[in-house]
Amino acid sequence: MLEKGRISALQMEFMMVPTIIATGVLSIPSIAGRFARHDMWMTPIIGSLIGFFTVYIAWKLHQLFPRQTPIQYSEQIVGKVIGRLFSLFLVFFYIHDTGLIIRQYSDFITGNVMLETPAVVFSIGILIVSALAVRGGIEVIARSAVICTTLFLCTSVALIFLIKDLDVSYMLPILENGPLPVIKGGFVHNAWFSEFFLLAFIFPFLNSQNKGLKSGMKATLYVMLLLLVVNFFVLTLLGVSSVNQFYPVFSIVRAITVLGFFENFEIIITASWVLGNFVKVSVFLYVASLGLAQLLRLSDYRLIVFPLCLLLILLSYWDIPNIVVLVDYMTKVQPFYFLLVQTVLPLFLLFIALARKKRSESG
Amino acid sequence: MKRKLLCIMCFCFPLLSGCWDRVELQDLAIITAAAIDRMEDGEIQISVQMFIPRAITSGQTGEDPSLGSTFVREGKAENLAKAISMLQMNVPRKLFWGQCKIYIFGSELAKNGIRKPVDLLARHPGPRGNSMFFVSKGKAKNMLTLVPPLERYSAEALRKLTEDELGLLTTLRDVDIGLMGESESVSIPLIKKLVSKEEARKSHETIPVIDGMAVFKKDKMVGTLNQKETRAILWLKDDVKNSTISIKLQDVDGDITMTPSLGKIKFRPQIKGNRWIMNLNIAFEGDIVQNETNLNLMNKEVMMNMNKEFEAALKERVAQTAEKLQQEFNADVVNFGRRFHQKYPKEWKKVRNSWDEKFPEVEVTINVHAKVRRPGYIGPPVALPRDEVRE
Repeated sequence: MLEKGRISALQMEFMMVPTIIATGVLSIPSIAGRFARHDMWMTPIIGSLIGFFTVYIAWKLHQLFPRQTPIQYSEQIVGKVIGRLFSLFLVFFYIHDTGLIIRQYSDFITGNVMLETPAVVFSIGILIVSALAVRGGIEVIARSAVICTTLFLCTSVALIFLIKDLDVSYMLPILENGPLPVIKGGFVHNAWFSEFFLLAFIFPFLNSQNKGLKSGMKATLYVMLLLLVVNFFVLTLLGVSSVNQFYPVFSIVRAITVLGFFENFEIIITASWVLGNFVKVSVFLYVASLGLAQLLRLSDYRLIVFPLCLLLILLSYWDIPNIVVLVDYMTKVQPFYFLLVQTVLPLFLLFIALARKKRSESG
Repeated sequence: MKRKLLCIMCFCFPLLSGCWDRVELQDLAIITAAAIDRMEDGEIQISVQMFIPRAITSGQTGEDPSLGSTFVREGKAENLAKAISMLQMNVPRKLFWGQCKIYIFGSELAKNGIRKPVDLLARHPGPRGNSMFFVSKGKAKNMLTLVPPLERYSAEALRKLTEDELGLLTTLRDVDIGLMGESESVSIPLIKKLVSKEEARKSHETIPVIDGMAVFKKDKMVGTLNQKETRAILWLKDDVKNSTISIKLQDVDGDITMTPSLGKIKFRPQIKGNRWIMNLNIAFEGDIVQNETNLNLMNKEVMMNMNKEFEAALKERVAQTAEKLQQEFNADVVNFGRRFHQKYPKEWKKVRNSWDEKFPEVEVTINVHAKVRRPGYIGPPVALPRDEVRE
């Protein structure tokens, strides 16, 4: 066992919520809005179905192989060679994904808040902090997540000051072009909701094993509700023009004014968002380094955290010349690719495991 | 352990110092308003009004108050982005756009299209989505050089003018939504320099005031509405304040005037065969503020009778303006298109590309429901012998 820490189910929820929405709120509204137009507020509902499904798969697999991560049980399910190939693929998937997250984070900060600072400064900054948290183990991540997530969500409550500016009529006509655009928009969410497969790496460290499914489902529900609220605000404040923007949520945050004189506090919200993003990067980095250590049968995953960070900085620039390419990737590749790796392949694993179990029971 | 901590602390110092974006306050030129003009030769000129922080803090140091607390600089080039970089060369400090909430377009630019400069404002990270747009009569730069007697600078005066007439306020966001939306039109408040005849004041010691609305079709100004028509537009935008309505009753001299205090408008689009009808239901109530006639307003019948007259008066006013928008400008600034789209999505698809042709054909029917709540402090006309009051 590489990790001896134990976390509670509540801590897991605190970890998972920013892990999905930290980068999700940046780009989901405009990408989903491009398909669903003025029906975009309902796309998270469609998208979350994949989330619930993924949590269920991860939980079922964990029930068959308690206290084990996918890296460990994939070998038992499909044999040594294929299992290790799958693990290798999964670990590299998460390493690559972490690189993308860091790219989205540093692109956002340099594009909106600190325009003259090189992006690599922010990549290095968040990676050092996250790496220190990851080296502390899952308990450290979980405890800092409780604080960071609370701050992140508390400042986001400032969005309610926008209520007076909302125009609900932008939601009409509902389902103008039928349900297909909404389903397409919901499909964009797959990339984020399928990330709930990360739970498969966290379930083994829960102190009360039977609460995993319920709190996993609860986390998915919270993420869905948060995205619903965000999409609703973006749509009713900016109308369909929001799809033109890269970061519509930042636009609506900038629009917050309280009583006409207390304004311009997007920086506070951005700073707390950085905390949320720290949780996201920590969880991903933790899963990537734990997975890699288990795959390579290392005695301690802490050794590879910093070397991995170095690789991640390179990966965050690898083959992404600019944000347009990044958004294009998030629109056209991610929904399918992420869904395949994190939902479809684990589903096959689950089927094979169940079939094997049945055969061994009958035989 | 101690050495480790020291290492970490040393490492933090370069990271926590605010990096490359660190700007000291004394290196910033805070812009309060910007005016964008099109010159005769087709070049774009940007003029910005900037704070002089010293003038605000010092108060009475013997400086000439008519100089104001701001100054204006300009930059000129073939497009706005280049003009701004030319402007920066004339300002020793770094231009700071974060506080700039007011953008004024000259009428020449408005007639030639505002899309190109607005693109920069929407794309650049500095300007905000809720910054306000105005169109000036004549050159926009002249609005910035005014020194208001009451406010600290003219941009502040403009902001306060729109503060309680929210229907007038047009933001960058509104322009973006309006011009890319169904109607492809938007209205922007029109401002002019208030000519003050006070002898003690110099001619520049005045403020810009709102003098109607500029109507934009696509991105070009197609016409302007005067004060009275602007009021009617405000009724259509469900945002009337500081308005008065006067009526003349039959066979009495003088007007009766009321201030509507609560207005509500409902749009009911309707399609009957090929006829597109927009039903407007306006309900308002208010108090009488002036009675020039000799009628006793304590009379129940007079009061009930007045309701109808007020209804007719408002109806005429709104109908005229709607007609002007439909026939003269063909600009749907009150979003009829969006309301049809919302109620009749299927029919809308057919006319979406030819809304220009359909909009003038839309029949507007107006129903007004007025309620005079109070005759004011007094019932019968003031200072009139009792026997001359008509019951």
